[in-house]
Amino acid sequence: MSVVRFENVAKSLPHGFWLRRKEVLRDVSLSVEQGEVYGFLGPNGAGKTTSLKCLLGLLKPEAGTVEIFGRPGSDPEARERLGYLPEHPYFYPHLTGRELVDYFGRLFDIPANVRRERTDALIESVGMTAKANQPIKQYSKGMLQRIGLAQALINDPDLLILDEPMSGLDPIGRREVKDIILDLKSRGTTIFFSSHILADAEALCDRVGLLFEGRIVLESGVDELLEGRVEYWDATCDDVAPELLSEYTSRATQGGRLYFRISEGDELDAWVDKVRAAGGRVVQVSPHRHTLEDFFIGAIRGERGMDEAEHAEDAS
Amino acid sequence: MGRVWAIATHTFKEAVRDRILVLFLIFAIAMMAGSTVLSWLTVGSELKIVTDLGLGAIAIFGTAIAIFIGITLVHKEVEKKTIYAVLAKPVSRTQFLIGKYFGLMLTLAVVTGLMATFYLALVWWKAGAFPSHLLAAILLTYMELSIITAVALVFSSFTTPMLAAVFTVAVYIVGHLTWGFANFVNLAPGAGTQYLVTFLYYALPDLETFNIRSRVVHGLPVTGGYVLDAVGYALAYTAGMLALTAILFRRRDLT
Amino acid sequence: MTRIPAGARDAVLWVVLAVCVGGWVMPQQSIDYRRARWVEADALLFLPTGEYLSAASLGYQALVADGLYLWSIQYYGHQVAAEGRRYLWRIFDVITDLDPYYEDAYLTGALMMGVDLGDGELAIELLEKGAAQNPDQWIYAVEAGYYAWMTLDDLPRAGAYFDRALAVPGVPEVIGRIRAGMAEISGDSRTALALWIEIYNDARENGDDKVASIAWQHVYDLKVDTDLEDLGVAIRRFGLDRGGWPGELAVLVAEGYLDIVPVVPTGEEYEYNSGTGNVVDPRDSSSRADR
Repeated sequence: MSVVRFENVAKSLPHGFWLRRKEVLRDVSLSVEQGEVYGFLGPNGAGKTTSLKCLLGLLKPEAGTVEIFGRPGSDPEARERLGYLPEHPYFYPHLTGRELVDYFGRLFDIPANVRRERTDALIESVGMTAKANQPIKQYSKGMLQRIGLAQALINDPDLLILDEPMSGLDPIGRREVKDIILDLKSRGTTIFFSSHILADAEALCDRVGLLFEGRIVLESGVDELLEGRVEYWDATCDDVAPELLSEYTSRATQGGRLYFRISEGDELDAWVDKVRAAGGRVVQVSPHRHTLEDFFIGAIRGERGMDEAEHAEDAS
Repeated sequence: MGRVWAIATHTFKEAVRDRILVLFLIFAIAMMAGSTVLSWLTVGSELKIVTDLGLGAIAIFGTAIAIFIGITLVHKEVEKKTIYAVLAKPVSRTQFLIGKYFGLMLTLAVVTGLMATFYLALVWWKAGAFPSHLLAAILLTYMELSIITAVALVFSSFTTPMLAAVFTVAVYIVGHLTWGFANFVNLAPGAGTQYLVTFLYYALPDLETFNIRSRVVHGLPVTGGYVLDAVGYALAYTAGMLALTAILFRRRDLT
Repeated sequence: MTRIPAGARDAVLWVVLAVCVGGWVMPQQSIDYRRARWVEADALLFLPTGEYLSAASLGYQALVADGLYLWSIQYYGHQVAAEGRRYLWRIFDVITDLDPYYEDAYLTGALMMGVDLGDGELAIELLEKGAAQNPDQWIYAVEAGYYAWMTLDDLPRAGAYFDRALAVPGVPEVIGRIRAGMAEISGDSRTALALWIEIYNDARENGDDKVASIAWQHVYDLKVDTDLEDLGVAIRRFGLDRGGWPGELAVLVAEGYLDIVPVVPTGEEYEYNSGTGNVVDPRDSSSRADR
């Protein structure tokens, strides 16, 4: 049983002044398996938050099914083992951070002493011990994010849903969140997070799904995607006359240093030999692999290309 | 249920922090205190003026608070998006609403209690004896507030706060005029209108039921049976309104 | 909480709502029953004065008057104790204090007090108030006239009220006819005659032939009545003085018992029987029957 499952989900929302229904989700299908970190990616406005809201029962899909631990998203019981951090968290301004975490703990019926221990531990782990007793209205964005994470973990969830968890955090904060996520993963928690920052996904996720214009256009393991061939090599050398290496694609010249882009692995060997034969020095050789970004932009272009092709067909 | 109670106490704490509440309370108490000054203008009805005005103040300010907080209750949560974090917990929308409602009724109980304490002390001082007959009037006023709050909740579950306030005030006014409907039924032309008027008579809350002020002030008897009927009516009506709110709120997309 | 499956929850809520509706309709009926049995009169005892209410209405006097009026109708409909009716004056006094131009209130209040209560004086008092506040409205004097006539049986007073009404511009002309008819009924033929003549003249002036012919009929009958009366008085005086009936009617004029010999409006003479001393309307005489 998948921890999270979307199957052919469709949802329209009122949009604009006249509140016309606009299709936000067209046909979303994805699944998240036990213990994995799944990156739910897509450009801004693709419908990621809408999907998460369908998952949590805040919205009702017009078609398709959404399930958590095999239960429909609208069933409150499905949320017993779940933790959620909303995008741009806003919590009750008059409560202190500690009171907030405690209040949410009460909503899980967690007994008082357990609640207290966990609250302290979680506040510590998100680095908010100093500010826990200040009212939330005094919190910065980063602090809000951290206390948000703490409340998401108060029930020791099996599934953690994070909506743009890194947004608004400084590098230290981002690092801390990453560490927390990895730590949770090592303890078997399934993590489903949405983001538009692909680098984060690359670093953390086991699998990713790309949402574009209401559909999942690409869903795959990260390693599978990246473990491909090398796209090209960046090769740099010193003390060689440029004419001798004219058959290779030159990128730049700086002083005596020459920068090349070499597309084939075999060519690389030949280039190294030439440099050494000419008495030069190989300064650097580094492989340039596809990034997630490359894959995704390709997928998006593919979708767009398909749309254009359809339009062209209709027109002709 | 523990979760509902957690929401209720939380709502109470939030509501009590709102400064408008304190303002209304101060106004009510000032009005009651001021009634003693007003009574100097009359001859011989000092006690009546103080008694009348005090009960009226409790009713008016209680209603204002009930409508104001009842409307902003759910709206603020949705507006500020705090509701997302709450509903992501294993709490159903119905539980959320009930918790909110109880929190508000708790707030109103405290506010009414404070006003009533001041009021009863004032009357006690003026009359020389504890006015136990006024307790029934205060109780029924509180029951009236419970209905108004529930109605406010119904409207705020599907329209904007502005409209919800307007509709609630409208229901409040009409609710005090339903005694006229009983007569209309006989005068209405045609069976269709008669059914409509009868339907409206029962559907709209009969708020005059809770107005035993004039009777109580003049020492006229109000039987225990009547009070029980009134309380029963209020409880049933309130529960019905909450059920209706839940039905409406559950359908709502929380974008 | 209770483990109601999510799909059934909506249905459960509907059922709860239905149960609650029953739960509030029943007490409502009980409450209605109890409230009806409360003595309502006390509510009226404590109705504030018109001045107080006027101030308390904060500019919405007419609205408050309406509300009170509606309430009074319902109160009247639910009448429980007879004493309550006594306070009708109180209600309508207050209502009309709040809104002195409230015609319905005056008229309905007068109706309740005058007809149901049988107290014509109270009705007239309320209508007098209405007339004082609305001198340009003829209706108050007319209604007062009716109460004086029907309830108090005081025709002269009624006539006086109708005269007042007739003085108000815009009064319908039928009121004039009613006034004249009232004078007839009360036996005041001369006033009636004078009124009908005026009505006849006005109708002729306005080209209103229908009213003119009605008026003519009355004028004719009334003139005959008054003429016969005058003739009768003159003949009897003559008889007392002279010990015998005059030979003919002209003698009465010659001897100073009459100014002129009256004739029927069509010009015919009255028939005088010197043997009996009787004068007859030529239309009634037996000789006519022969023709």
